[in-house]
Amino acid sequence: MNLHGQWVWILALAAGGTWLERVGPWFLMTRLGPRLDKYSRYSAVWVENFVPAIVVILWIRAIPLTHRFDMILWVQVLGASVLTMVVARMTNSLAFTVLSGMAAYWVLSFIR
Amino acid sequence: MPNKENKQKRFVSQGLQDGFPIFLGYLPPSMAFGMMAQQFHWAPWQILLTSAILYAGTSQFVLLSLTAAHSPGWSSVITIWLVNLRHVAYGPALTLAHSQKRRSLLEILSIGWGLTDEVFATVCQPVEHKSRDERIYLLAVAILAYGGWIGGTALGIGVGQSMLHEIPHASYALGFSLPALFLYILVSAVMHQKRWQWQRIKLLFAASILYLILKAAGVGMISILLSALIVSIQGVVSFSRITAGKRGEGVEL
Repeated sequence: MNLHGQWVWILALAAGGTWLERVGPWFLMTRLGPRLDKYSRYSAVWVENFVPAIVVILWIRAIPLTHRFDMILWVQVLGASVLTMVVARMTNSLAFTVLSGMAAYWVLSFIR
Repeated sequence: MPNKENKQKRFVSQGLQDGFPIFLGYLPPSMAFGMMAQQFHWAPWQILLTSAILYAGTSQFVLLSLTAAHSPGWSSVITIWLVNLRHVAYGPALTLAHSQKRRSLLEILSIGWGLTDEVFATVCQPVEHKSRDERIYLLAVAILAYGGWIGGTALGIGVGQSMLHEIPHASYALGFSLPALFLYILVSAVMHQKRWQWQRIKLLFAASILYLILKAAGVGMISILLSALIVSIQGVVSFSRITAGKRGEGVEL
């Protein structure tokens, strides 16, 4: 299978599963009702932990550290990250946070 | 009959009013997705198709990141399912919020595809309007939100290209867009009512360390999924121990 074909399969399976996750339990809930309620606390805790755990790993992978021993690059990434976190905490806006992070990363590139 | 038609119109108008903030809110991140995917050399049809059929903000960026890292196909699919697993709770919660309203399969299929975080948060608010559990109202909110996501993605593809051509610095700055997006999600996850959740920060630290160890051990891309699974299951075990301890002490949970 070529790369595009494989990509389409990945997307189709990911989207199909996501859609099932949205409609499946809803349909079950309308049929089974609150009998499943006793497990909901544990599944909620697991989901609450799993999503940030996977995101923190993806964040580590996404950090643009092209040269591991370039200390100036570390300072640039660290500075932009701290600023992004401060903006995220203060504004609670995804769009503004991402834009501020990008701007900080760009401005800090001038220290090189 | 005219009375029924008027009611329907009112539900649609209410849905459009409630969906408009989501429409606006979806434009910037979907534009960022359109622009970022181009940076990863995705074709416009791939970008639009992803937004159209996956339609799940975080996991679209995750897919982008995993594809760029040449992650194995099945691992990417499972990771996305697990990232979106929170959606599992939305339908049942809506059923409870709407007084156990029994919906038909067709109704659930038609509304369920659009049940994103923001749509869920909007339609699952405390019911002060009777309209919130009406199918036509839910559809209006979902369709408007979907329009915002697709429109923003298309705009990101169109405007993004010319912007990157005119301003080459934007291309450099985009290198930090994905880490910034993940940082935003992390800050939201570890903050609750303006307080740091130290338990969760410890969990994130454990996940990072475990991932780095597994990666150094040469486990490969599955180390992402494995580390997150181990740490999140450990989180549930701790939670059940704490709740069991409180029950033993006679604390009402």
